[in-house]
Amino acid sequence: MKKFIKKIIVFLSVVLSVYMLMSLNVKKRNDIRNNDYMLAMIDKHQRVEGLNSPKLIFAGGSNLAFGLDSERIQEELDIPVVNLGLHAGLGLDFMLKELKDQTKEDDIVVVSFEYFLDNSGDRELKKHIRRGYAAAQKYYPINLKDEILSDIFNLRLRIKFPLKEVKSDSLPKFRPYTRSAFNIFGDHIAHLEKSHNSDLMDRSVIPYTYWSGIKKINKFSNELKEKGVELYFMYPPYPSSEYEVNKETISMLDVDISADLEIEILSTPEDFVMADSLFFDTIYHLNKDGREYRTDQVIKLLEPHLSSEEN
Amino acid sequence: MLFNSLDFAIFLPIVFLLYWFLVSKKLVYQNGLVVLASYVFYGWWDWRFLSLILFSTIIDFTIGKKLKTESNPTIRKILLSASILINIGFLGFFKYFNFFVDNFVTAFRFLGSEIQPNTLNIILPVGISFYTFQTLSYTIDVYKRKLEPTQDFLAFAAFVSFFPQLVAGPIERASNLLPQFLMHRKFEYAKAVDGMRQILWGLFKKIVIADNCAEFANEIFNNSSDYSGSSLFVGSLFFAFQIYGDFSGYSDIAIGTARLFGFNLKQNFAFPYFSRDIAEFWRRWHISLSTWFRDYLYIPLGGSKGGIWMKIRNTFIIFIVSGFWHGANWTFIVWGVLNALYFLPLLLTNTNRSNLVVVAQGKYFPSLKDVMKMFVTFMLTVLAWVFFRAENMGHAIQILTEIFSGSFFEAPDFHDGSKAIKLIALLILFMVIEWIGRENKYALENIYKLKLPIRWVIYFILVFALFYLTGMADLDQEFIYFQF
Repeated sequence: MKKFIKKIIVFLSVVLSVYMLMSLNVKKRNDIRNNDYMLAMIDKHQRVEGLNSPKLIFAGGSNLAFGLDSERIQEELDIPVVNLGLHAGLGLDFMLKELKDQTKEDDIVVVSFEYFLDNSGDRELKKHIRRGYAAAQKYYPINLKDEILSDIFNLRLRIKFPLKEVKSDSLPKFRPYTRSAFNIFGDHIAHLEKSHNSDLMDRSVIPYTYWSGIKKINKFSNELKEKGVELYFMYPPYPSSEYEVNKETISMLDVDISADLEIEILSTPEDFVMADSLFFDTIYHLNKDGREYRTDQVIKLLEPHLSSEEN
Repeated sequence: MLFNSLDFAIFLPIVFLLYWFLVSKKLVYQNGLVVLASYVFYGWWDWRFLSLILFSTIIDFTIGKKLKTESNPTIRKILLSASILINIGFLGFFKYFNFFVDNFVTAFRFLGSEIQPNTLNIILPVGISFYTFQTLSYTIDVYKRKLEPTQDFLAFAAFVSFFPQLVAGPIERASNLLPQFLMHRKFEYAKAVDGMRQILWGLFKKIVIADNCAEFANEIFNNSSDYSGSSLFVGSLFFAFQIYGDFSGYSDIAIGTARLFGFNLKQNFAFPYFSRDIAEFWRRWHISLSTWFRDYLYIPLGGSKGGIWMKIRNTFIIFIVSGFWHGANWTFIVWGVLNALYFLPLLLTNTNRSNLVVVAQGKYFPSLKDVMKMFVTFMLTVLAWVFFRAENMGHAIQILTEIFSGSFFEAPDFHDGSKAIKLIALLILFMVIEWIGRENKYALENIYKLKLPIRWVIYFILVFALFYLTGMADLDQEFIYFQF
């Protein structure tokens, strides 16, 4: 018995030691880098802090990061703008908590979430952002078991990842997903001069289900109202080919949202259904022309509300 | 609690240490800990399931005791029927209630009358198909006086709930496992080491082989209309390896874990993809279920003793019931029928027992004839798996229609082609290892004969493969057979 346990301990110790050595060796390369796309959140939060209220805050996933010209919105609507849109994978819960933390009295918030945005989001992505930006920890609950599982998972990645990195580093290809790809307003701009990718990613047939996000947004809106913050909702941009596939589901969602969402809805889904040629690489990322078009639409939609605010 | 989860990685060493250090002195303590650990293990999914397993245990223990003392044949039959009705009743209710309701509604609609279905939101208790069959075998064996009923409730409860094989088998016979609970277990070094080795091999099969294959099989089956016949065919091959790695991997972990506690469970898989005909395949695939059906269904129905029609009828019954056991879906029934059809020529020509020993026994390479036979058997199996994996009959037919169309000759297309090629290379290496070890109970059984440094290198490679060659991002990938 003792011999058995001793051998198991020796075996596991050797495994662990080799593992530690390997992970140390690759840790430097794999550590979240200063120019990591997700760390654009730091810059966005810094801009929020630096602005007085009232200000206009856009919140949602990457459909906003790739889909707005905030500078032009700021000029035309005459209100400071921050685009918090970053990544749908963070999930609705995370984004709402982030918004709650970042808004102040008199702020105006426009949310635009990707269709049927998941509540909890991707655990790895949240952990990833936390490694480079400790403050992000307060936007999601930490589950010890998940954390340990995630550590094991990351340990695997640390061994896998270097090989992939070497490959991609050796190619002089465009890598738009970086922190420096954003401008000071929080808009992703590095892709604007790049050509449109004809094969859009993330296409899917969406099954209809009642979107639980509606109730969450309602609850959140009440909290913001108490704080003196105005909240609006608008739909994300969507390629016409993808809309054809999911038209029925989206119209059912729109019926639910119109009936149950207790905040003002600025647009219909059709307002932001756009030609496929206006998208960059995924079904939510607009290219230069698409971004211009959407910005025009957003300005038109917001103009009456902001002028009434002023009055 | 999943075998490939962090929960189990913590649970197992704790139970192991308690078992051999704290309660090893007395049999009753050992069995008590097994029952406690098994109930914790099972309750980890949903504690409400525990009442079912406890009820089943009490009923069969009581009926077993009554069957021993009762001599009146009518009362004995009533007792046996009660056990069967209760056990099958639970299984039928939890697993098949909605299936039957839905099909009755469809049948009535076909006849022109519309009825409102009243389906229930029933959660299928994990592993109910496995432990139900295990307890049934006990009562039937006691009824037939092939087995002495136990008077030790704790040992019986441990036999029914034994955590390594509780949720996905092997389905143990009382005659094999129960006596082991009646004997005090002593630690055996060689057995424990062998157990660890088999666990490691099982984890490799599940995490590296099955989960990697699942990544492609799921993508292809879930979006089957986007793929050509050739891609769907390769997707079906991936599923064939997924289900083998998944289920035989689970069995290896279960058997290995049981060995850590001093128990010997039955071999459940014997390299089925090296079978030369379907009859051999079924002697090598999910052996504990096949032999259960043979002993408790096929033979009582008359087996192969009657005329030719009787043999055909019994063959179809056993395969259809086996299909239905896997799930309440017509796809499983068709899968069973298809296997019966494959089996039929062997039955009619009386060649179903012509391949009883492992292929190319004692040789490195098989003959060309054996290679051809293995290839044909494997292909037939892969086609049958399409029904097993498909969501419904329409889905299966769509896939098969595409496979047997001109697009079969197009180059397969995957979302990650280079990964698919690496996976195919990995599968070839895996099958080579399986081939080398095919005369043992599991592929790595004989490596204890190698020198220690070589053995340890193999273990390290396997451990690192568990981390490095992981397919699915989610670490807690469920085992397919839990749903059955």
